[in-house]
Amino acid sequence: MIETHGLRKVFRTRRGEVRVAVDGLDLAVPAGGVHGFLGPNGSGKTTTIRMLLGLARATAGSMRLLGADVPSRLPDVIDRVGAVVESPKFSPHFTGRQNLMLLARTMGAAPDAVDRALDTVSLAGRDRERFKGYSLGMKQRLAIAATLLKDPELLILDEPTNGLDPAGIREIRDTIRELGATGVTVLLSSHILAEVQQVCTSATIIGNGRMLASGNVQELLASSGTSYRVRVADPAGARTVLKAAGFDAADAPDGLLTVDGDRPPEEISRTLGESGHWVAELTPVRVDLETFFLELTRDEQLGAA
Amino acid sequence: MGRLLGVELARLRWRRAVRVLVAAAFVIPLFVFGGTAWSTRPVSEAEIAEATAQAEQEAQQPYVQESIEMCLEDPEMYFGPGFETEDPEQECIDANTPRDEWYLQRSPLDVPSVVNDLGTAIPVILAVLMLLAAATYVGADWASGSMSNQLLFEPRRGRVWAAKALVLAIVGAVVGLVVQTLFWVGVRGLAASRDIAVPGQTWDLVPGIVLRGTLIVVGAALLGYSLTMLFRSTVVTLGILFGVAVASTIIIAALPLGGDNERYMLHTNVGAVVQDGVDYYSSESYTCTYEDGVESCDGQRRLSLAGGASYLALILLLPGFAGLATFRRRDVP
Repeated sequence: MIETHGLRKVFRTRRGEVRVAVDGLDLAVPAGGVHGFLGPNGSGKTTTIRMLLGLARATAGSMRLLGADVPSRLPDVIDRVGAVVESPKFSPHFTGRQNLMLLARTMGAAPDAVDRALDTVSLAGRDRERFKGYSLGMKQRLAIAATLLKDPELLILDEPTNGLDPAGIREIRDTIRELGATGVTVLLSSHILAEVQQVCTSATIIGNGRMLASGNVQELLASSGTSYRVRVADPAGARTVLKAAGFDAADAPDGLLTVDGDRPPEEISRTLGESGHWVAELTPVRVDLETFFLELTRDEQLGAA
Repeated sequence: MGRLLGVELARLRWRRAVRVLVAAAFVIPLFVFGGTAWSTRPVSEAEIAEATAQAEQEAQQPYVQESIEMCLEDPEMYFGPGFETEDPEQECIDANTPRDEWYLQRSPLDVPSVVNDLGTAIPVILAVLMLLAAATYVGADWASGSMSNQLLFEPRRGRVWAAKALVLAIVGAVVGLVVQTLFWVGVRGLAASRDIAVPGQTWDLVPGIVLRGTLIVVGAALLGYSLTMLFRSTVVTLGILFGVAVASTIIIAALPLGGDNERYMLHTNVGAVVQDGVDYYSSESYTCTYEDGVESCDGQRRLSLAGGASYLALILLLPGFAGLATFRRRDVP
């Protein structure tokens, strides 16, 4: 659905300094499902999306959208690609309906496409108000309505829930999930990692314009390993015993121990039992996407700081 | 392309600032017409009576008689070297005695001079308004960021650029043709209503002036558009145009053009296009001749329609090509 090979984008600042925003990115988004596109601020997510949509020129590398080379054959497939890039960008003095009508006419959409899109995002009653009077959430919903004018096969959403209230976030999340289930491929760039984990089937994490990890979300999390939370009467003594047996054990809050899970849990239990430390609790702790993301991008966060 | 033209026409029509500027393109020439009609209105009986009374009163003043006597002593001082007449006394009396028309401070409608002056002024007014409309229309797309949204639906940038330019050219042409035609129909009706005899060739000039004036209006709209696409900001475009307007006279005067600076002034070239050639002053061709002791100097040169059109085309094409090239290549925010 989306492929990039060696994609690179270099900006020159006004002082002549060179800044590499995307550095040899190889991205592959398969057809179907919702694919998360994650990375810290300034990691090159939006630049990548803008290059894929023909808004920015790549310095080097190649891109394909729906099998078509970008940007040379982008016009052949653009009617099948819906996109929201960064903040919603419409003419502030036009009404929501006028803004959508201009876009619908550009692509020759059916006359009722605007009404259907407005209904889908619950803006039908406010469509004759000027865009500049909309709340941030309404603006975001209008941007999503614009993508639906195309009846897209591929949706590229860059922070689509920015500014939405909790109900709006859930609504958009459900819409994205439904679209993913009906065969629309969604590339979702978001900072809300819990949301991505709930919605996405696969994800790519980038940092400093390079890919750090990519694949099925569950497999990515599994690859980071499982740890165990252990409750015993004497945590300090138990930690010493475990370390002597070759486990990676550390103190955790509330008198607990954390033990890395590269060995089966029954070995933890047996080792402690043989040394007189009776296990009161042994709970597997799975890494969530946020932890996984923060660990992967720790260097960049430190670098940025 | 037809679909894009329709979209851009709707976008142009929906912009409030553009609607105001197009309305001004009709209203301002209407005021100019009204001003012309008012300032050349026929004098009333009361005004004639007042002028007669004033002339008679002035004729009694001592300076009148003194002037007549000075004239009789040296008629050539009054009428120029080589002056000869059978009745110098009557000539001096006629020349120095106040007459009614001296106190009627209003000339009748002079259609040839209206064609010469307003024939250029009206398209210039329309050109300025259409330039502003074009800069506002496309500058709003850049200011709001909606240009990128448009490109998500039509990524062929050359087509987007051309559609916007074509719509502006069409609107500029319609406004230029309609407003100028209405203006000259009004002037012709005014002249007819006042029984003013106009040489036939004067009216023959008007269609050409309207057509060439329309080209100036279209060119100005495209210039405003090209500059705004190049700089991506209405404010920058207007700032640059203001700067050029202020600085161009100084810059052109400073250039080593051999005294032919006037030829490169914008107004000279616009005049040459609208009026099918224009005479301008050139110190380079300033020559004086003496004949029978009389000095006669001439510093006039003629700038042809082709000369003016070439100069203006160059001014339009440079930002046009630059604007198109950068729009096709540069990243869109």
